[in-house]
Amino acid sequence: MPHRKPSPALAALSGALSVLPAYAQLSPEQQPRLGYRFSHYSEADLPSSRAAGGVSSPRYDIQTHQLEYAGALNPQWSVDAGVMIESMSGASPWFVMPGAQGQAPVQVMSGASIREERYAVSVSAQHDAMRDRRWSLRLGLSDENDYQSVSAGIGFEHDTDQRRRTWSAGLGYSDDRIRPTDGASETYPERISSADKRSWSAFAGVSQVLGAQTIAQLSLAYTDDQGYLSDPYKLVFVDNQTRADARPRQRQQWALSAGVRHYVAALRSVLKADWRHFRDDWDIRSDTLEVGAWHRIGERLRLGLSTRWYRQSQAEFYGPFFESEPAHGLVSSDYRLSPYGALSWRGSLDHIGPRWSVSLAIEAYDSDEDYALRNVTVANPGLVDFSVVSLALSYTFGQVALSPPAQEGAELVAPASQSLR
Amino acid sequence: MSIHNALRSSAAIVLVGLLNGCALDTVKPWQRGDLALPDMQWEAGLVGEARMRDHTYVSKEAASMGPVLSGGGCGCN
Repeated sequence: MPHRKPSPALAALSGALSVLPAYAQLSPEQQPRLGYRFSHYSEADLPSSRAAGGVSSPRYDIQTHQLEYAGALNPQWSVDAGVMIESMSGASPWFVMPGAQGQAPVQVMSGASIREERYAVSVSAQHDAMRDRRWSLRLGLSDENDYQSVSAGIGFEHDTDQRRRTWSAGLGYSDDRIRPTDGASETYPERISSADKRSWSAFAGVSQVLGAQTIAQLSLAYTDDQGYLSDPYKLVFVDNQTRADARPRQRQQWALSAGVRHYVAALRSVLKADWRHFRDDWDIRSDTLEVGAWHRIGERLRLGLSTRWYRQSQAEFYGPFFESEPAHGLVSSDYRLSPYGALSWRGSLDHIGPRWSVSLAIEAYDSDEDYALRNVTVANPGLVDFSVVSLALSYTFGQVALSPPAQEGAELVAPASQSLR
Repeated sequence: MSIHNALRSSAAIVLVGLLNGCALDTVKPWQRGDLALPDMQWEAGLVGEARMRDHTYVSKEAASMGPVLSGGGCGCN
C-alpha cells in the first residue's frame, strides 16, 4: 500500500528515535506522537432585541493553539505534555436591566473591548508496572494577566476479570489566584483587588466489556470549591442600582456519568452515547446527553458526527435583576447560572495515516430557554450561541504500523479502560 | 415517555449492564479486536480534541466535571 514519504528532517529524527533502545521495545501504538491543533471560537453577536439601547453588539472571539506530545519512555512509563495558548478579544455580558415598560430584560455589555492571552501547560506521567495496575500523576499551570492556577492530580486504574473490567479512581487539587484588571480602582470601586479559590476533586469509576463489540462505563465525580467563586467583572441590577456579583464562598458539586461504545462491523462505524447528571448545593441541576458515531470511509478517512443536548436549572441566588436586596445578600444575573438549554452539532473529517494525521472539525452551539424543556418565566438576554472551527495535525515518530488498524479477529487484550483519564 | 424518563431509563440500562457484566458471555482475548479499535476509545478525537471541548463547555455552562480533572482559566466572560 502506498504511503507518503516523510520529509528528510522528520525521517532523520524518527529514525534516530527508533534506534534508541527504549523506543525499539515499544509497540507501534506506544510510539511518540506530536500534535498541533488550532481552534477558532466565535460567539454570535448579541441581537439588538436583547441589547440595552437596541443596538446589536459583537461578543467574544478566541483563537487557541495547542501543542501536545504523547509517548512511552519504555514499556512501563509513558508521558503526556501539552501547551495551550489562547488569545481572547471582544465584549462580554456586564449586567442585565429591566426592559422598558415591562418588556423583557435587556443585556448591557462591557464597554471596552477586552484583549488578553492565557498560557497553560500540563504534564502527566503514567506507570504501568504490573500490567493490570496503572498509576498516573498530572501537573498543570495556567496563567493570564488576571488569573493564575496551579493544579495537580493522581489517578489509579486496576484491571480485573481478565481485563474485562477496569476500576478507576483519582484525586485532584487546584489553587487559583484572581487579580481582576482595574480591581478596587476609582472606575470600578466595587471590583475586588485580589482573591483566592481552592478546589478538591475526586472521582471513581468502572469500565466494563459487555460484549465483543460493546463497552460501557459509569463514574461518579465530586468537587468542593472554596474561596472567591463570584465573577469580579459582572454587576447585578438591584433596586435600580448596580452592585457586585455575589455568590456563596463554597460550592459542592456531584456528577454521575455513563457512556457506551458499540462497533457495527457492517457499517464500519462506532456508535457512541454519553450521559451526565450534575447537581450542586447552589440548587443547580443539569443533564447532558451526547450521541454520535465515527464512520470509516476507505482505509484512512474517518467521518465523525455527533449532537449534544444540555440543560440546567437556575442557581438559587440567580435572577435577571432584583427588585430589592435579598436577606442573604447573594445575587447574580450571570446567564451561566440561569435556566436554559443548549443544542450543539458537530462534524469532523479525519485522515489518519501511519505517520501523519489531519483533522478538520466544526461545531455549532445554540442556547435557548426553550431547550430547558421546562417553562422559563424570564429568559436571560445574555444566552450565547457560538461556533468552533478547528484544524489538527499529528505526527508519529519511530516504528509505525503501515497498514490500517486491525478491523477484526486481532488477538488483543486491551483493558476495558483508556477511558477514565 | 418524557425526556426525563427516557434519560433515567437509559442510565438504568447502562447501570444494569455494568452490574451484570460478569453474567454476560465471556469475551476472550482473541475476540477483542473490535474493542481495541482506535475509534472505540472513550476519547477517540485527535490532538486533545476532548480536552478542548470540555474547556469550552466548562466556561459557558454551570455544570462541570466528569472523570477528567482539570484546572485553570478564569472563564470570566
